[in-house]
Amino acid sequence: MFVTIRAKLIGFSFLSLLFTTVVGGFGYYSNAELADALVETQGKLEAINTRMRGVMAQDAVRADVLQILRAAKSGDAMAYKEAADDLNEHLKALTSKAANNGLTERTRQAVALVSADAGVCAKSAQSIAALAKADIGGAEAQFSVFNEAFKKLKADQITVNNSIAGEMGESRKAADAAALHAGNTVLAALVAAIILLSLLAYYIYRRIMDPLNQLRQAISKVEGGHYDVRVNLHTQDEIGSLGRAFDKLIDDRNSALRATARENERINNSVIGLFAAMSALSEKDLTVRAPVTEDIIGTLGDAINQLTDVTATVLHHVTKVAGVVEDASERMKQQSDVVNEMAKEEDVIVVRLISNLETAMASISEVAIFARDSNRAAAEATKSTESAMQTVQATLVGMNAIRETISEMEKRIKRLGERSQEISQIVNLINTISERTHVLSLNAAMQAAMAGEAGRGFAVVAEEVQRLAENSRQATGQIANLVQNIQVETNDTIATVNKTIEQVVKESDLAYSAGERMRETHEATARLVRLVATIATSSAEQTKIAVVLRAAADEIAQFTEKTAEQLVAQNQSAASLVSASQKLVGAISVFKLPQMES
Amino acid sequence: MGPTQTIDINALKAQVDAEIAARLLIEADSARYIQRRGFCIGDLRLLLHLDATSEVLEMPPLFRLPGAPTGIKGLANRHGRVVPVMDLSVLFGLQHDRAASAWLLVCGRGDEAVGLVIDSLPERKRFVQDDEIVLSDITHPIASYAKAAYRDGQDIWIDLDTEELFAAVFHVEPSSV
Repeated sequence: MFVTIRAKLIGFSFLSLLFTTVVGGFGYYSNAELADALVETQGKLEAINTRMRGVMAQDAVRADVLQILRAAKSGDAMAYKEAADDLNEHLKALTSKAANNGLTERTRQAVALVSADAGVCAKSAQSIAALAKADIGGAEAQFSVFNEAFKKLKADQITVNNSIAGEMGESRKAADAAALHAGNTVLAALVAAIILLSLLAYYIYRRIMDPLNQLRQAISKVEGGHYDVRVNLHTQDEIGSLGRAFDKLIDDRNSALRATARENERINNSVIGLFAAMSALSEKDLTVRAPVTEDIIGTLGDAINQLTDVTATVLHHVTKVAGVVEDASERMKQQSDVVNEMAKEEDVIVVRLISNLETAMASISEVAIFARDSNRAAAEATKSTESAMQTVQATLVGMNAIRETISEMEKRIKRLGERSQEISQIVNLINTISERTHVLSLNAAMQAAMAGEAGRGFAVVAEEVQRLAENSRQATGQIANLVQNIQVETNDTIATVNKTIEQVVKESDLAYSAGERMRETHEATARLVRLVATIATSSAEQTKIAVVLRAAADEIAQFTEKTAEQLVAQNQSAASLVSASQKLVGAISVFKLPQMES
Repeated sequence: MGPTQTIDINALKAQVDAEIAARLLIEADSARYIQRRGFCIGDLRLLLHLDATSEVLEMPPLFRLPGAPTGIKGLANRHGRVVPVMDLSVLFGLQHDRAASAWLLVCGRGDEAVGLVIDSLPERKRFVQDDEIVLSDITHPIASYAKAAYRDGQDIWIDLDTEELFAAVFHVEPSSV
């Protein structure tokens, strides 16, 4: 139980809580005792309060009785009535039941005696009040009785007051004693709890810190190189586990150090064997083998063996290649002799090439001059075609303007035809009016003729109107003929205009085609100009290139001479290469090589 | 008082005399001619006395009369009176001019009015005595109802006797004029 630090801490916390609860319980008990003492004191205070009101009522009753007697003697009914009302009120207070809570039995008996005295006084006061109106003498005689009863009441009241005062003193002493007892109890519980908890805390502290100090000292010794130290903790808590883990760690480390020492010994042996093999290799004996062990040095020895094998193989190959190089150098020397001869022939060819290039340069210069002249002529042709194309385009614009004008003229002529038709309608209307006028005049003439002599004058007028109408008909007929002729001529004009428009459209199309052809011609001329310009440019560039070629040919001639010189040097280099190959074979022969499989 | 306006009595007399003289001249000129009202039905040219016609108008709506004599085309309402309309082309086998519009020529007045269907508006025709030709030279059957005939250039104008014509058509006694 409580073997681990966690359990110890939990137990300590639980005990602290328990002690706190006990101290709180003592405090609650003391508080309850103080409350009881307070309740008892409160009851006594209420009894004192009741007694004080009774004393005040006693004095008021005596004053009311005296007032009644004075009012009755003076015959003041109003004062008598007010005094009688006050008396009734004060008698109620005097005879009311007094509070006895918290009083002792002796005090209660004294209080009962005071109540009885109060009842006697009340009855005597009531009889005085009743007699005062009718028999003032009897009332005054009754007042002496009342006075005696009042004195007895006062005496008993003093007894009650003293008794209550005594009880109050005892109650205060009891309350003070209860408060002192409660404070002492709580203080004792608190001191006991603090002592117990301090002892328990010290015990837990020692149980934790002792093994920790032991572990810290052991670590200090390990840091100083003493690997044989051990903690040897046998507790079952966390620090005990930590100490055991520490001891096991020290044991494992000691084992590892011993294993490392053994491995170092073995590696040292392998390195010594490897050094022996390397010493033999340094004597150019490639047949020796380095020892191959199982450790890392064995891997190194195996790599050295492989390197030795590869080196031996390479040296075999170098020996073979040196022989090949020697043969090749011999052949190269022979070839360079042949090339030298060819270089001399090439020199002759280059001189001929330079001569031909000069001839070509002269021809190209002539072509450049011709191209420049052609370019100038083509530019003039382009300007001419541009002018012609502008003329054609202006013609085309003019044709379009003519076509629009003729179209407008056609519209106007059509409107003229429409107007002539309107004139025909108006002429028909006039003709109709003339005809009706003619009929009217005819009828007027008939009526005048039938009127005989009386209508003769009117007949003349009717005849004139008839003639005028006839003339109007003839005139409108002529106008109709004229308008009809106008319409016919208008239609003919429209047909002619339409034909003209068609002709203009055809001519416009022809002009447009001519413009297109002219534009194509212009474009072709422009292309021709560009081509000629390109030829001129190319000729100039060819001239430049020819110059460059001439310089290049000169350089080639120089290079040919240098090449011949280099070939002589190369011939000499080939001879020295043969010699170097022979020397290389001799140098390699100092190595002792293993026999290679074919 | 305003200014007094003097009247030239002699000038007025001279004006009246001039008008009377002019009228007498016109009448004297008219007396020298034979004046008729001429019209056409097809290619037939006919004449009527000036006071024999009372009205010419466009062809009004006609109301057919059952049992009417041949040549009576129908009845027309003119000014609240019923006017019989006669078509001479039916009676004498004439051919109306299709291009021309038909007109109605009212002859007589009142209850005696009779309408004739004609192809042209009547016109005033004047002839001299020398223009008259003999009726027997005219072969057309309408010559039976003609008073006279006149030549105007190449055309022959027949002066129609309407009273006799209408009497023959309606079979009534002609009223005294």
